[in-house]
Amino acid sequence: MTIPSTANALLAIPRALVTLCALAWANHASTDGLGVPLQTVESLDQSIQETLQGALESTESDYQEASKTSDSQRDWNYAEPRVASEGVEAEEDQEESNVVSSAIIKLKPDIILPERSESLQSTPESGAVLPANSGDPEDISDSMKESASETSKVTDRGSNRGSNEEGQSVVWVGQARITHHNYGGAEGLHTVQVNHTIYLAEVHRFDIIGEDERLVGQLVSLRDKKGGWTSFQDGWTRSACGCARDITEFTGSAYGGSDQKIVGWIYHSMVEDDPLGDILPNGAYSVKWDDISTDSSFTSTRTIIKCSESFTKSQSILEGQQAVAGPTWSLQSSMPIPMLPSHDGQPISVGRLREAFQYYKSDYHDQQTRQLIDGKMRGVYTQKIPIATSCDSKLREETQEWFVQPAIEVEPKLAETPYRWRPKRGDENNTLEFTVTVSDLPGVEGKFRFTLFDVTREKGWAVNAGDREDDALDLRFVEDDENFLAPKESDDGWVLEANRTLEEATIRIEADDYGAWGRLRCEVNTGGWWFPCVSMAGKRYITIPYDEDQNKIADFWEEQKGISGDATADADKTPEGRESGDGFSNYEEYRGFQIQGLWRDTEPTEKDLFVHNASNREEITSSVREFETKSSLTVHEINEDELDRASRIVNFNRGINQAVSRDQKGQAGVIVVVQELDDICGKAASDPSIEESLSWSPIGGPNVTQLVLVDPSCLYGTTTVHELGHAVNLWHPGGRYLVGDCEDSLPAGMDTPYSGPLNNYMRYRNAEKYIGPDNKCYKYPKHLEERRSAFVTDPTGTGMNAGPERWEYNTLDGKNYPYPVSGDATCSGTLIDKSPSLNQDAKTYPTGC
Amino acid sequence: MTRTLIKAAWFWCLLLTSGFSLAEQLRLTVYPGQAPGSSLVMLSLSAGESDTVIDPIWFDTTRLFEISNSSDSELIKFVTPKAPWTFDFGGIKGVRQLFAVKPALTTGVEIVAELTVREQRIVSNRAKVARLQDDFRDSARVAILLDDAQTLLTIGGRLIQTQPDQTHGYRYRGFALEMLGRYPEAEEDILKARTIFFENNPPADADGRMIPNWEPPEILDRALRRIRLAEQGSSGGTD
Repeated sequence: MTIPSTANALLAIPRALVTLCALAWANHASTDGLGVPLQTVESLDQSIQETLQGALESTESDYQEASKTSDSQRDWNYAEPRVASEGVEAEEDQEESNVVSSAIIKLKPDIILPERSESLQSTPESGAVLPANSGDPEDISDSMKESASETSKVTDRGSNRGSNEEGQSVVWVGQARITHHNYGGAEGLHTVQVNHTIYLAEVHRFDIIGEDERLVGQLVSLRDKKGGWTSFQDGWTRSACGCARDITEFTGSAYGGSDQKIVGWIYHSMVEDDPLGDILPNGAYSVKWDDISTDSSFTSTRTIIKCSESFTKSQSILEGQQAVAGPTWSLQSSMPIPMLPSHDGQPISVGRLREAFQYYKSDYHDQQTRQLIDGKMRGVYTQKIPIATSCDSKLREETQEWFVQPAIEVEPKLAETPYRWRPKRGDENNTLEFTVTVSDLPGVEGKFRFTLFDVTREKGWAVNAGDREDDALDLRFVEDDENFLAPKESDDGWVLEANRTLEEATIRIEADDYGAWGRLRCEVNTGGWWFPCVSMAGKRYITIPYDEDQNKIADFWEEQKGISGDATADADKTPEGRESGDGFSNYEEYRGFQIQGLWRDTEPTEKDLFVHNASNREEITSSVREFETKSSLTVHEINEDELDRASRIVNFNRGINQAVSRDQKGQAGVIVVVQELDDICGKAASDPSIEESLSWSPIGGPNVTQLVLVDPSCLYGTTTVHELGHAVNLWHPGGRYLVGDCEDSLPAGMDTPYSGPLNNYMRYRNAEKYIGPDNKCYKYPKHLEERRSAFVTDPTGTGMNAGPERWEYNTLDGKNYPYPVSGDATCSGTLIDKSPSLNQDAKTYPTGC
Repeated sequence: MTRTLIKAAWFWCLLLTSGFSLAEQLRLTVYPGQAPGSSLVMLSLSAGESDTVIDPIWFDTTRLFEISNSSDSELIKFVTPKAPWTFDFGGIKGVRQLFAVKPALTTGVEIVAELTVREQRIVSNRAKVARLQDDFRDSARVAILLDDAQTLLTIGGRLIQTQPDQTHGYRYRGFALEMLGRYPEAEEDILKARTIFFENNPPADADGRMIPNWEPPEILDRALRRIRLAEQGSSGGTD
């Protein structure tokens, strides 16, 4: 946060001198090959420039390093524009560096400073938002770290002479515009306009020491902090040399982010009889910058007609090409350059500084002086630069406008959402509250603006609850503060703007959905400029809830549940089964369900099954609990309106982050109905459409089993548990249909549904007859049956199904009978650790079934 | 909407004397029956985990049922054909009472029960009277629940005449004969029903492969087991 401080004594500049903030646009036409770095022609040689860089950035190691890296392919020569030669057949413009003069050129003391450019004056409501990038939220962690580093430098030097006594970073904020009109040699006009948002931080102050250790002034170095720019070009030009014609059409736009390289300096004179006054008046400043394009779409099409031959060449500047795809600004003024040694924190003598100044001249550099006016950098100038070619001449007309004012930087901090907060539905006790202070300095006020964006629009308020047509924003500002206007809804959130300036603002946010998610940013306008709040993580927004990986699940919940990463994952492991997952994504389990009127989330590592007891019978509830206990599944009994009765889909309000396992189809629940079944006790009725497609009645998970039907006369036994087993893909223990002399029956025997452990829920019981080892039909010894009480993991037969075929005495009639010995279960689908599935839609027989 | 109020203090006497704990859910089930017979309403009050003993004052209620969309609700009479009974389904404990409603409730009407316990109003689910397509099942279910052997015998006999290739008639008549203690006849009817069942519902498909979700005629098998045990003078059996 910065505060304009024209009235601030720290920044008030009483007198004017000459400096130019000159901006030069590298003409794409003049460079021919658009992928080739465009070079600005200026008038300082490389050695001077290097020295200058050393002076202004000597202690900015990170910045300097970045400069070296990004500009490694660039010629750092400062050369002034000149009349360049250009041939029709030339593939590249031949722009040569001018000779740099080291002779001292006396500045014009009587120059009249231009009036402030009206078009670039700061206005409170139209002030640019800083940082410049207003598109997608930008992670500025790195830049903020730099910022913190810079601030500490200034603060640490607070006791030094000339340092900021407030201990605050001083920044210079404003706008600049550069417009180039490039006239074709024969005809045509190519226009380029670049709009800069300027945000310069004061990095170091060099004490200038005169005789007797007298502090005569300070030279303040500036560097870009988080400015940016946008630009566009269009038009066409044509040159003509004899019968040859060279036509180039231009179009495109570009913008640059906070990595633009801006450096500069300001001189503050601190004595009336400044020994540097003849060359460096109070308030003299210079700013130059050189941008790196971050996203460009500048293109040109060049058609060369060489008498009877024609040649067309189209080129574009590709995104990511970090050459000078956008505009290039550079020093282009009459201002002398201080040639300072690498800054070592020591004062600089007047003599050393005077000797260090270098001057240059050029026919076409800006001749105006640059000096703070009322403590601000502002001005406008236009220059016309003829460019000679081999057979004609072109004209470049450049107009520079700028308005930059000082401010004291204070960055309001936006606290992170409390780690353990999670969204709920309209719960006042769950309201989030954020308080932001403009500045640590007392009495500093600003106009606040809070923006909720990227807010979810989930249907209802849980995956199975709430209005299915509801697509309202899931987070909102609480409207009860007279300091703010009513929130305005945007496409993806809300904007809450203060109706007065405040030192401190407190806002409250409520969620209307258990899966609500969004981002919050705040800005404060002081002196016409919007400054962003910064989170503790160095970002310009926070997530609601706290969600570092931004997968829409609160981080604390992921930590609590032992998951992370993909919100669409469906990898529940417990209990084991045919595959992992239960049809609900991690996000859906986090967003949660309404279960018998109450909301709850579910365990993302444990498989959940939803059952609706449509007949509302306690017996069914009891059986569901027994099924849950014995299957180890987590079973939830839900009300009628907590699943879609027609489709049986439980997560009917599913939206974002659906389970990857279900492919957007949703997850069905099981409906248990008590109804007259005539002769049978229960039935797992499969979906008719699946039956039709398979031509048989499959057993499968809840997406296959349409209904579990139980006859009212069979509610007291284990029928419901057995049928619920089918509803999660458990099969009978064997599938062989014996035919023998047991008429009108399904006799027990090897590989039949009677086989395996006697206590298996999935087994048939109480056969009327069985086929013995002699292949004869016998009456089934029902008194040897056992109660079904378990789902089994071992197919080995127990009780009368165990052991070899044998004859034993039947106590019922006192005769010897062969034992039924139905043997081991053969169908792997009956095993609770192998077969259960909640995710399948329609599958084939398991082995041995 | 018309409200039908009946006194049911006696129902709560069971609760009073049973030391029944605080109710948490009131469930209502309707067996529609068929005119001119009765409908049945089963009211089930299940207890929560609380050990609080019901206070007698809670039972001082005269309002129990509310029937909606019924034009003749004033003529509807509720009687209790049997004493209330307690239940315990795997830890879900409670008390139930059966109410015979005459004339039978009209299809489409909704019925809900309401009572106040310790100043807490408990409302049951709202049940809508819906009849099966083959309404003899509705009549037969009521007859079974009321141990009305004669009605069941009539239904079974009529179905045997009209649908001899179906199990219903033999099953219902077998049940009725079992109620009447005519076990040999009952067994014969149930065995006949079983034979028809296997004819109509073979366990295997045309390829001889067993139908995965085929279930045996357990209701018939249970009936046979009961009848045979009754014949032997014993009772009980697993499951």
